[in-house]
Amino acid sequence: MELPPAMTSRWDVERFGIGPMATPRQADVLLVTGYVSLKTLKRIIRTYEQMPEPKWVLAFGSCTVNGGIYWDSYNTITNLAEYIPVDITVSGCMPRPEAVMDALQTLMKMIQSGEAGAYKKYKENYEYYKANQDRVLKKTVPILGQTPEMDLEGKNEDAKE
Amino acid sequence: MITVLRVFLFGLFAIFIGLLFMGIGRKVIARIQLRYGPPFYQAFIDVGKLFSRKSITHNFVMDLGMVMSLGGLLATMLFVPIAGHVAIKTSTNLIVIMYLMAIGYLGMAMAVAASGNPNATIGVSRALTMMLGYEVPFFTVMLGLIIFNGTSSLELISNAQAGSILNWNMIKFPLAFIAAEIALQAMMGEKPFDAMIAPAEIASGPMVELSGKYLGLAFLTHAVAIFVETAIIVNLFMGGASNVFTFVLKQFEIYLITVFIEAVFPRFKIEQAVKFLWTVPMGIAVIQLILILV
Repeated sequence: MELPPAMTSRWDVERFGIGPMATPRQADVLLVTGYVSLKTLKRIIRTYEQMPEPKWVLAFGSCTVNGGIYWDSYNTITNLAEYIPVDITVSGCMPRPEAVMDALQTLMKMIQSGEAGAYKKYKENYEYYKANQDRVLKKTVPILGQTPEMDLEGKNEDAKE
Repeated sequence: MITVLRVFLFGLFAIFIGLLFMGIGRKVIARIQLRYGPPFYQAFIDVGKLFSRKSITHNFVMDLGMVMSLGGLLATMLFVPIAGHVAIKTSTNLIVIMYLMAIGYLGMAMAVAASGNPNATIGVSRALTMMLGYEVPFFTVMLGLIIFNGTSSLELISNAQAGSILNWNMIKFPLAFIAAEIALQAMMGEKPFDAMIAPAEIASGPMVELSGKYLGLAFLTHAVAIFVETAIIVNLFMGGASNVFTFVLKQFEIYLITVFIEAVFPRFKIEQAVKFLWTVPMGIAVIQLILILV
């Protein structure tokens, strides 16, 4: 909800050279805005793995940091950083558009100083992330009827599909 | 050796001017929408960043198609006279230019068809349909000018308009100029004729699978396309120029008109766009053709 005003005339994030991209192939930064339910997580992982390197993740709002008001919900995850590597978080519920712009500029500085390289961590510790992902994604299997194997593993299918 | 150097220089010049125009165009659109907008050199930063990124390719045909689309447009650019300078001299360059310009789009079509993404395929089929739409009125306009001047050499047509501003084809054939201007809008893929890109609808169409260097090549292709298309209009209707600086300034005026239209218009559906191009600019062009012939 905070991103449309940040992108359009009121806050105009384009003046820093930042713009929205329609596909993960062209994106540098993945913004995860708001709470992440298990079904969303599956899509986030898939999107993240489609992005070409170097790539960065911005977790936006309290919900992605510690669950926020959904901390005890049965189908949302509480800490996004356990499932995909997060470079920078913006806390608040909800953060203002200024906070988004500040976070993006901080991320730019971190990239220049070489601090932000969480995508390397994802490759090095893939087993850890994969185990965490599998643990929660198991819950998305419907009680009645089997889902195809592909969904169970939460695997990233090729874009050719 | 000198020829090779000339060709390189012309290519670099076209890319530089095209990227500069793109950056200024983004700034102008931002100011129209009451934003600050990115700095005018943003397009250079973008291309630099894209070429430094890791990119994903699907197969060899995709690589070939991207290079072919840039190469096709650069080849077109060698035949376009820029203020009297031209890389390759021929006497009938207008026909060669129109022939070579299609290669850019065909290369792009080949690349995205090889990537196998349905959004990209929809996008490129729309782009080729749009090409069908704008080439008919544009060719009609050109036919009128070729008949009037008795030559298909772009240099001779632009030289024939030398002297005062009243000799410009823009003043002499205003209807042809309007038709060409509308066709140019579609040629550049700007709104209201950007159904092939449509980010909200088909996820930026042909560009959907392009990452890193491929997107960078697409940017350069677009930059050269802007340069070539505005240069053709300047030569046809604004009498070329005596030096390069004036020429680029005239090109910029043409590009600015396109950007102004782009900033305020919504998008046509593809069938509406082709219908519009085949009725309004085509009608205007035919009336002008009849006026020239009579």
